[in-house]
Amino acid sequence: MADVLIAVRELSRSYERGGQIVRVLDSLSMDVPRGAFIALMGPSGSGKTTLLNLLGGLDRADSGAIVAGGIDIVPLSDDDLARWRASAVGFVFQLYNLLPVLKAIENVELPLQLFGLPRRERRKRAALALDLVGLAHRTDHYPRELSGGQEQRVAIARALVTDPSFVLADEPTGDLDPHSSKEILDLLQHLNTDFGKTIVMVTHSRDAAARAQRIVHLEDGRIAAGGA
Amino acid sequence: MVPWRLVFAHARAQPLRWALTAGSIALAVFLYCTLQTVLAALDSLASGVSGNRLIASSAVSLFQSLPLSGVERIRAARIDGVREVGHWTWFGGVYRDPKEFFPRFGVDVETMRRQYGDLAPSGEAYLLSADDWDRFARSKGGCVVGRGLADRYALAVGDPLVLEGDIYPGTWQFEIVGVYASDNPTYDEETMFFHWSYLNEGMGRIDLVGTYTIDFAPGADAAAISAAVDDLFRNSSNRTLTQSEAAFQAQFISMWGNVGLLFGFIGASVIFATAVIALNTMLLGVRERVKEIGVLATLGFRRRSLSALFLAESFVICLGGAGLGMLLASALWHGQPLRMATVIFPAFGVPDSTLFVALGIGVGLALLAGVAPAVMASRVSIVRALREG
Repeated sequence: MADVLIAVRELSRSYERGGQIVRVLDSLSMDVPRGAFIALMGPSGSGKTTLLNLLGGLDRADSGAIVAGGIDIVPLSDDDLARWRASAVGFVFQLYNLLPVLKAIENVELPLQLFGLPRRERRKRAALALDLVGLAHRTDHYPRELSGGQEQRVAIARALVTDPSFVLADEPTGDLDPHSSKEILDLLQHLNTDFGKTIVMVTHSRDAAARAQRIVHLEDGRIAAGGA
Repeated sequence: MVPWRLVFAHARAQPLRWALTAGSIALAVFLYCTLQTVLAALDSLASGVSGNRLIASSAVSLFQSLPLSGVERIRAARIDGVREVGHWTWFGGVYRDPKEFFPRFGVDVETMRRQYGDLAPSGEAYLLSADDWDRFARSKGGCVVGRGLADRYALAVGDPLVLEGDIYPGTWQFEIVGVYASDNPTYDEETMFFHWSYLNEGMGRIDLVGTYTIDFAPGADAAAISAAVDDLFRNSSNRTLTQSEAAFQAQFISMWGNVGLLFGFIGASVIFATAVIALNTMLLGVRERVKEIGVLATLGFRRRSLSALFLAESFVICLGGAGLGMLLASALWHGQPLRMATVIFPAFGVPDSTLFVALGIGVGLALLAGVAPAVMASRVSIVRALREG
């Protein structure tokens, strides 16, 4: 049996929309093995992003459990959850979400401020992460001076710089041209195969999903296929 | 933990907004310091004067002259405790240009020396050597000027000084026979004194003076002396109002109405308006940076760090602005660079207590402008911030 990094059990989440309670995740259970590269697919509103947010501790489940690296994160306090996010998870978003007032290297260095590292050490690690994503020559550029593909690579470097247990990517190629998309997918695959990073990626793209080892289809807040 | 790099990155990214907000605070604090400095200077006018002196002026108006004969009348009355009686007369006039203002007084030199000079038992208000006093007493058309005045116009002993009279029409020529100094902040170094007799003769012996200056012995009953002096003139056409020198100085202040209340109201209004501007700017910052808050929370920054970020920004802007205002006021009102202020108020400078209060205002503004945005930032939902920001 594969080493399970994240175990999701009977996870439910509802939202109120237009005065009605909408059940976005409905008693969902799944396992994410360590070192896996999983693509979450499904129609809009099927619960992909909600599941990703819950896995990353960005949102609170109504019920159920998420045990990541041996820790059930559902009952954690806000502060404990923030600490856990800082050390255990790397996030990659569709719109990169870099801070426009910071240079590329400062964006990458930002999460390291939470670890009490000396500035020189932070700068060194951020430079290494940028080098890893092929942007060693763009350290002092602001996000507005980078292409979409380059911005996403900076975002990936930021996600990796703390050496998290797993990376959550929400439509990482959704805003990119085909060439940049391929570069980003190559990079994610490289991180998975060569560095053993566990990756859970939400995507609408079949090409992107094809890079994953496993594709999980969601429908109406449940796993329709690929859960095993 | 405060992400200082981010604080300064925002300052770098929006220099105009930061500068304008801090600038408005600097202006408010500068105004506050200036108003308080004027108030302190007004207080010092009344507080630094001799406690053993009374001033008798016309009971009708400060600008109404009194007869010279009144001096002799007071002396002749031998009121218990009275030691010396002199007189001062405001000349007015113009030196070079109407804008070049400094006070000019006609005095009886001998009594002035005994009341304010080297022969004054209560100590010297105006420092002049015995030789200079002697020379001043001997020289009919002579005058003495303060050191500040001499420096301003590059005047020296032996130089002529010509005034165009307005209250006392005509061209009045004087010769500088001495330059006085003063180590008492209440007495300025910006005044000119000359012989009242020179003025009186020039005007055809009108025998009118401005005020009577009455020195009394320490321990004497000032209230009784005041009453006795006023009684002397009670049934004459020149009724007097005799009061302590401090009260006399305060009379000028009261002519301006309730200055303290007015200044306080102006200062408080400006600071309140500035607080609203700063708060609005900070709240705008939170609304514009909802996504940034979401990203920081995603990366693991705790809610208190997000609060600290906005509070720190508020402190940097508000304390920076307040510091600038304090620095500006201290620099501008130190070393007597503005002559008008120092002519009217010899002891003009921002008091330390005002600077402490100004610092407190800076801290207060920072809290007022920073707490609400800090609370807002800590309550932002991460998911909503990432989706809607």
